[in-house]
Amino acid sequence: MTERSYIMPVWLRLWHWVNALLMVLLILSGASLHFTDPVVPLIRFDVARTVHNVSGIAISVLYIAFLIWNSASGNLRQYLPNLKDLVSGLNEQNAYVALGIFKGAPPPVSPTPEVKFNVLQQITYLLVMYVAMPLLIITGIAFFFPELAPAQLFGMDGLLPIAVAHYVIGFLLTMFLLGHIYMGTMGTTATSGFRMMITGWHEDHAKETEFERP
Amino acid sequence: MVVWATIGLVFLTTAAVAQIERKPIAPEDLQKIQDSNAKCLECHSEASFDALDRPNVDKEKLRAHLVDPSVYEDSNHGRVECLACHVKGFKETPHVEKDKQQINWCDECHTRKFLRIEMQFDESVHAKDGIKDKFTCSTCHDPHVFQHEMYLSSPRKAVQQDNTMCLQCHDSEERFALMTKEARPDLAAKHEWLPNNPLHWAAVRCVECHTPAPKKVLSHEIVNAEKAEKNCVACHSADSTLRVRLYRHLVKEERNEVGFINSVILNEAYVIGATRNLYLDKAFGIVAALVIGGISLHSLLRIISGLWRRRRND
Repeated sequence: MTERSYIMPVWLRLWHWVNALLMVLLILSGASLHFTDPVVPLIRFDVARTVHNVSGIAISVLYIAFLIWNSASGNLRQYLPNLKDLVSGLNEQNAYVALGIFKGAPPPVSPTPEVKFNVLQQITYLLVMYVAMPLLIITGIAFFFPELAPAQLFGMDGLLPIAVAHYVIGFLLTMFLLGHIYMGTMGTTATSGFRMMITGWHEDHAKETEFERP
Repeated sequence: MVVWATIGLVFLTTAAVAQIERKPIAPEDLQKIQDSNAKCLECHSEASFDALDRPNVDKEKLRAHLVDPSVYEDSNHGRVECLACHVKGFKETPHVEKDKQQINWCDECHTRKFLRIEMQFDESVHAKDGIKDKFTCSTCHDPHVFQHEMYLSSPRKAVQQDNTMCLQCHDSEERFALMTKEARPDLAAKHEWLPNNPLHWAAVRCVECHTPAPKKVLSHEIVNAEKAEKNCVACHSADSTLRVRLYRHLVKEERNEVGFINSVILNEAYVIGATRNLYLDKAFGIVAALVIGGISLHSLLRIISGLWRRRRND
């Protein structure tokens, strides 16, 4: 028996995929601008600069729209973990990733319209969307208007801390993206997570498995 | 944390690059030069000009021949006697009219350098028919002012000085018209393709791009827009040409202990692609490899365990 529930509204899915596309463009162009030396460069420097600038502005505007949508729709509460269940929730997720999934166990938490994310997702998404993204955008804006950065800092060009911060956060978000895509394969089936992000519907096959959900 | 740790490390270990000192000169020799020059500056200095009241001195003519003593002393020729170049006829006051044009030209002292520079100049855009004869060394390099970049306290000052030399004609209709009848190119429009124009112009010299690219080192062969360097990566890379151009005198002082390549440039400007930190790049490379490796291993184990479960259920 399969239970279906509508989890992801249209605005959220649209934002998610446009955001994903922009992130990929930013990663590829950002890497091309940072590593300019390879024999075969990924994207030519001047093209990479334009792609990075346009995508950066687009993702910043989209981020502001996300902040408004997320607050206005009440979706923001999905990002806030229940502190009481924090440790047990994390343990459950870790046990599933480390062991349960190899035994064919269903994910310990199945998304519902009321609670869409497990604790691990809540913490990660909260850090990504409300800590890393604002820092990435602020340092990106400073990079976009370098004349506004302090001329000197610690005896060096004032852009240095901004540039290093932008690089570090950009890299961490790239690693998040890899992990996020992979975690998408760890739903009730390998493709259910991706299907949900396209159709908005979550299909729960858990009752068909031999395992009881804890 | 990583960001601040990196910055802290850089702060602790990278010192500002020191200015190169001029060769020492014996105090008595210096005094002799200064005394001799002081006599000239009694008339030829802006400070003494207003109060000057000497018979046989045409102040209107003199106004065009004033020198700022402090600027002169800081210049490359600051320890050279005025009379070393302004020879015959300048010892007497008023100067002997017929000898006034007899000035020792640059090649009198800079003979070897002059030969090399002349060959480069002959290929320059400034050596085109019609304007070549209007150019001397001092058209660009005012010998009373010019300082070699190695003696300036920072590359930024070299940029300011050297770009002013170009702009004195290229940013002035009046001066440009004195050299050629051609229309003066609109600098802003010509450089529209160059991102963050004001930043580039404050951080690099016109000649960084307007000298032949393949030769890498700086030359007196100034090239036009068509031949000028337009490849961003020429500067924005680990092997940045800035190392053999604007920063060539400082490269020897460079320190790489904290992993920043081209750290000598970092003292002045963050140049994307050229001033990156190798330690950070390597650390991120390892982390990325671990993440991708971890995901691959996890995927493989999932596939194997899935196949094993299926076989068991069959």
